[in-house]
Amino acid sequence: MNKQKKYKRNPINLVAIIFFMALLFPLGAFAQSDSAKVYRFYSDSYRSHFYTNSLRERDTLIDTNPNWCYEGIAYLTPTDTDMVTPLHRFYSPTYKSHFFTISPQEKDFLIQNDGNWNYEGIAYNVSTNSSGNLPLYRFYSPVFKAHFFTISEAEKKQLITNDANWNYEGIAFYASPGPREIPETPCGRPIPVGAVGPDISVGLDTYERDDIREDPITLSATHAFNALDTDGSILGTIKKSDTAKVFYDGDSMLKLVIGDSEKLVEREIYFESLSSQDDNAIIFTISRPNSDYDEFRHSMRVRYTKSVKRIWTINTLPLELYVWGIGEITATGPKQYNKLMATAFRTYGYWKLQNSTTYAAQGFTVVATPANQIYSGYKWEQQYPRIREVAMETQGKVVTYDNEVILLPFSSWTDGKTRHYLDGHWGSKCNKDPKQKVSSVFPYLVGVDDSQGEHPSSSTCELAAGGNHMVGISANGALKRAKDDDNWDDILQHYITDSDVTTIY
Amino acid sequence: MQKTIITLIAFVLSILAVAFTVFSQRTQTDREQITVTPNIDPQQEQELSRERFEQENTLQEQTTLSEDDKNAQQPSQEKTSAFHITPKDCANECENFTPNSAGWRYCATRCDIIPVQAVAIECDAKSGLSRDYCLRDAAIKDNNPSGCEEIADRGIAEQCTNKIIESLVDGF
Repeated sequence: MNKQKKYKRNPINLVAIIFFMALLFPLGAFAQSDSAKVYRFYSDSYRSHFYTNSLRERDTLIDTNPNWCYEGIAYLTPTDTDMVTPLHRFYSPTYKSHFFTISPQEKDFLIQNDGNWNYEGIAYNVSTNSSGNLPLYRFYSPVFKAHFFTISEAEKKQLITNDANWNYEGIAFYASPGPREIPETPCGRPIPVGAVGPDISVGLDTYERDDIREDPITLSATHAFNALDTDGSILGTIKKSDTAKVFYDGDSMLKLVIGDSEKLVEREIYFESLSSQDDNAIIFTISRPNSDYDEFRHSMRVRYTKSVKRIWTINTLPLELYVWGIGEITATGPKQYNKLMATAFRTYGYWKLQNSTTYAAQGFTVVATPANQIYSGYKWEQQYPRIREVAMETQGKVVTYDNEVILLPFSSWTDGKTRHYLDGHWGSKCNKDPKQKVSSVFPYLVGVDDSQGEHPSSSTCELAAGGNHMVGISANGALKRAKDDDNWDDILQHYITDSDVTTIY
Repeated sequence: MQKTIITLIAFVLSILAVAFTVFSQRTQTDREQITVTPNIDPQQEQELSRERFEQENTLQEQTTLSEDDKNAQQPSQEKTSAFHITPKDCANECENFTPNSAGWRYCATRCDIIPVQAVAIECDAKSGLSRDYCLRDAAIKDNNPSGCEEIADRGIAEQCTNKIIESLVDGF
């Protein structure tokens, strides 16, 4: 009993306990509580925005109320408790609109004097601290009888400059921006994807100059977007319901038409969302002469290249999102085969980003046609969602050899064995004089058994004439192995000697 | 008394542990700072390329050829590129180089503005970069990656190997 008292009284003991606590909880751990996300919705019917930090309310609205379009994370609520204040929430059945304020006076005034607004209580706490936070700007529209809040400088600037329906009212409070989300569909639930990799530019269609002198390339999108020149200067803003047109105007100049406005632009016009928050949420629709797959994520360009005297339409997007839209497969077969293919597509794109110069002067890395790998964009992604599923299960993985990303040759069929690189039946020619020597430049392309990919009837030279070089991965062999439940990375190891799978993001 | 001694030992150990944590965090930060590669501004890179190009451009054609010869005769242990070409150079179609100069030709070759030539013969009769361009075209035409290894210029040699595997995989 005495010992206990002594222990309690000894100040050294108390200090020791504090230090032990410091050891148990690493420095800064106490401050690492999660910020709450505030989700933003827009209703075209009510011309109004809605904000909530309730995940349940978000999902209920997404799943059950078509009047509301989910736009992503608006901002984050503060992590600390200093300099915070409650945000009061009102709803008006008359205006079909919500209103938020931190002002007790404004709250009391509305409760006491305005029967149009019902007080719903405190929504959540927000910060009044400008240090380390961004301002949240408040707008009011007397036309729509609605308030709008945004953390985006670009959105603020766009409304002040281009939209007379909205009056800027000042800074409402302070917050930090949330992470970017990728919706499954416009207004749909976000896809739980992490890093999406470096951007890749894909050449979609090419035009002679005369092709678009009278008949322009047209672009529209699910969100308002900006047109910019090569210096990043904004040429104009295209509203959600509007269309931008691009003509060739002669003397190496493109002509951008937005409504009644016309601008001559040298070399290139970029089209991207108003805010970087929406980069992965926006879906563009672009006119295509020979394809119905005309919807694309992220950003677009129209470019005139003097050296080839041609115009290209270009889609730029993160590598991972590019893999989701690859039109080479439907991913309806064995999962292990599709995971191998998704990894091969990503590897191909990444290798091209690092090494290919074929289209460098034309402003992109790969074309969307079979000349590279078929890319059909957002519509294909929606049509065959299993591609995205297998891509997400292999996210960021590429094939490497000796720590370098490698290109993977594919052959549909073999005659029962694949070939060393030097002995490939390249160019549809039957190689009757194999060297049977491993290439010092491509040592990972080594001949292996492929009894599972052996064509049932064609001879070696018939297969070669059909374009089967028989080097690298045998597509039918890999498919058969996947049906036999081989893992995709084991299949890869079989065909590509000493290769590794490396996660690059 | 024994309890107090144990507590004191624990106290000293705690201080040492906290001190070690703080020290290791600092040294980790130092390591991170050391390993950061200084970013070269693309504009600065362009200036460097241009500077090298201007230096070469002041020489007469004959002198340029002999410089190229020297390059070709240098030991090939550490290959270097004659000019530093950035993606921005390709995107602006090498407009920062004087048209038809040695620098422009190098840039235009690396950026595929000048395509692979169908006829590439007697490369050994040529010198410097002209020899390298010829060897590149011959190796690509013959689908012979070993031919790329004879190229003296690093950038052209890498492009040569890449183009061969690329053309095979893409079926060009």
